[in-house]
Amino acid sequence: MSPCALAGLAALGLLATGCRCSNSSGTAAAGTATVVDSTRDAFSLPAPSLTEQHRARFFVGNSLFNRSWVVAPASLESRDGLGPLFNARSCSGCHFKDGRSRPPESGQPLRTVVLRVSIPGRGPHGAPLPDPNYGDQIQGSATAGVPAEGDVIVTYARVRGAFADGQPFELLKPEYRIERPAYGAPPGDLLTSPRVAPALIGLGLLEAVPEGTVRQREDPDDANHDGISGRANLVWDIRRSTPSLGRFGWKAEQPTVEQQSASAFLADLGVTSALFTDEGCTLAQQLCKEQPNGGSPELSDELLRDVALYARTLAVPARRGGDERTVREGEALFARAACSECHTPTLRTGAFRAVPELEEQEIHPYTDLLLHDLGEGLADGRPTFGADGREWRTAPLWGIGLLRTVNEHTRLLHDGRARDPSEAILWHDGEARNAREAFSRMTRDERGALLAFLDSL
Amino acid sequence: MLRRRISHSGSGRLALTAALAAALSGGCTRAPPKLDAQRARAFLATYADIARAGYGAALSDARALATSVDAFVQRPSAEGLLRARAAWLTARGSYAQTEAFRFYGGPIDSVELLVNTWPVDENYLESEDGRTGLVADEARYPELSPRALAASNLEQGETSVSTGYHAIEFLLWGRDRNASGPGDRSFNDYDQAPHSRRRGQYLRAAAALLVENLSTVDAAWKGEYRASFLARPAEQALALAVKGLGTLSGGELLGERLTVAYETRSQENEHSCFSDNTHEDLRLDALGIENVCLGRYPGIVQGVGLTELVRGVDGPLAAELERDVSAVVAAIATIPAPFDQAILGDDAAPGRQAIARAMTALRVEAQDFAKVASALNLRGAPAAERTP
Repeated sequence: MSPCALAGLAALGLLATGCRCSNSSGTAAAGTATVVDSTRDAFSLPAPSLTEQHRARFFVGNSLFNRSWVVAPASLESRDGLGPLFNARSCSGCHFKDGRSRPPESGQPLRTVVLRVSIPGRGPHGAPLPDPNYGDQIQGSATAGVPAEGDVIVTYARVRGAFADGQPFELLKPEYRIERPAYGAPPGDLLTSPRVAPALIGLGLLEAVPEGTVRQREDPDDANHDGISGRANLVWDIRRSTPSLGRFGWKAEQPTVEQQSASAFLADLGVTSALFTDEGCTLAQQLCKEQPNGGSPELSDELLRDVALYARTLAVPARRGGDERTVREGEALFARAACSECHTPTLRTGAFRAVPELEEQEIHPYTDLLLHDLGEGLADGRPTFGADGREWRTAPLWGIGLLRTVNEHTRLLHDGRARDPSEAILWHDGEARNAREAFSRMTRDERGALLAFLDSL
Repeated sequence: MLRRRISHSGSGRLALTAALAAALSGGCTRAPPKLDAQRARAFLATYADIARAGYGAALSDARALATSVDAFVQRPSAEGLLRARAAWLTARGSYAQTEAFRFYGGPIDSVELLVNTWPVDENYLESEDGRTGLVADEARYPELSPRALAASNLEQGETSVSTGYHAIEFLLWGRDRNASGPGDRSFNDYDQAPHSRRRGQYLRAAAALLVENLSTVDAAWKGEYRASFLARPAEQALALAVKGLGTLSGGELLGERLTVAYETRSQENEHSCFSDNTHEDLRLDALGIENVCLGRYPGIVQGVGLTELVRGVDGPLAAELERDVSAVVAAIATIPAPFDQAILGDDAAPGRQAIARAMTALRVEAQDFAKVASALNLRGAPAAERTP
């Protein structure tokens, strides 16, 4: 039997694929945390390498992730505490099937995309300064008796352009406005940053990449003159009370999966935890303050641990069609256009006490976890810790080809403005300008090959 | 790398060490074991026959459910409600046996979210005070047609379930606040109670949608999909079949349905929580796995089972598989009803012990499927199958 047969075991979610025979880059996207699955469940499976004990906690975390939270007080004490202000009732409301959310049609309110807000200045440790009336996110829903903050409406302007070969394209440039703001007119200098919910695969592996590995790739002053100057974001680690490497969120503003999860529980669901104990009602939101809560905190430490374990151990689906000639050509073009300078194909995990099963794996996330200036077109103008208004963390690309299957859309970038990978590339600017121009200059066949490569991830 | 993983994987995985060692020592070039092509074809044909028989029964029982629901809603009565509930229980039984055909992008997987999603956040359908939810909220949900219900299904996350067996279950039984039995919704909810007319519309539409969705699956296994499934290279089709069985066993039944309920001791993590039918769902799911392994659908199909196919490659493994799938059915049958009481208490409680034994049996069964995949040299799922 060949080791490739192990993929059969991986398909059962029992063993990882060790298949390295069929092509040079391999199908195992994430070492022993890879699963062979290209169905709608592709983002929802446990890393096959989990111990029995972790596997049990994974499923408990999964059930919590899917569950709708209810208003306190309720008979279901373990999951009461929704709101008072919230965007969604469950994690899965936005990360449906553990995948990525999409923005609504033009003129419609955001439902599964959130709008972060702040005012100029810095809070403690360099965090954005919350708006005095609206806090740091517009919550369009509220429990009975509390005014919701308002609806964020997105509209799109069409931007036309053409590839070097004359083939025209059209991009969507979003604009946001807050309708029916319930707590006063937002200030004129309100800083905003729209965020889609990204897919959750492989997060623990990204957390397990040693800080040194990430920082070694930094080049803040572009000393090698390649036009690319990756920087690490240093953010506040609440659990450890220390500055720490930011890894998660569109601007790498969270250091760990646990803190990212807890912050989403608070901002998106209105559920407090040991890391975020305050509901976040502002001085202007008296009715919000007066609501009963679902305990202090509303999410127990045990459940936070389960949900973090879950988010850390969602497996990464194996690549499909990596052997095909077009895909291999696309892979070469991806490197030649220097996309791979930031979308780093290969990293290696180190020690990871939270989930030892994820240690010492060769992984292919296509990210360097660093911040890069992507130019004015994508800028949110809202600094977050060390990230300035034009910088974004390199988004991982693993699983990108399965988005259509899992979530029935292909909307990309932090606000979902790109309707497919080609549009996402065309929005790249700043440090990625050369890469984008290389893409523009490619022949139609070459662009097709590059996109076929992305589709295989 | 693999060695390291095994060191983390606990005693439950030791059984796999031998299979792994064999796999690793083989290298990339060793020829696969001999699989009797004719027997593989015979198994796949039997598999497709079982699917056809299973979905045929599920569809006809769903139609009977829709008929009794229609009769009940037209003339609400206590007896009519009991008849509709009985029809639901029958329909569940035949459907549960078909779950062995899930999890690989087959016909059921494209409609499964509309058919069998759980757990249901009952507040999405009807809040405790009856003032919000799909039934009451006429302004937001003016229409309660099959199409409208399908559009609202999972709109707010994976428990905002508005369609399928478990939504219908809620409409027939209501919340289960009863330790010794299921929910006890009154027929009056369809007669004089507030929103009775809309509740009735909802129930009929949900039953009609269930029939419609199962019809597409039934048709697929009678015609086009059956043909394309059997036209695949045998190894590919086998990989799908074994993946489906292994995922149902180790992921769905062991993980989502037993482990979560066992760990949390919470009724909200119970599969059929309104009707107290969870023990039967589990048993018939396990029977569905056994059907495929033994190559039979009781009373309709008798052919070549997975165990017989494996026997040609690895006799001891075939014997193990046969023993272990029956052990799962037997272990699950000892879980006392109602399930929502069996999960309570300390770990020495008889109900929890029975559930723990069923979990162990499922773990062994899931490992068997992994070994089968290895013995048959299956390369996992083939290239992407996209939902249209």
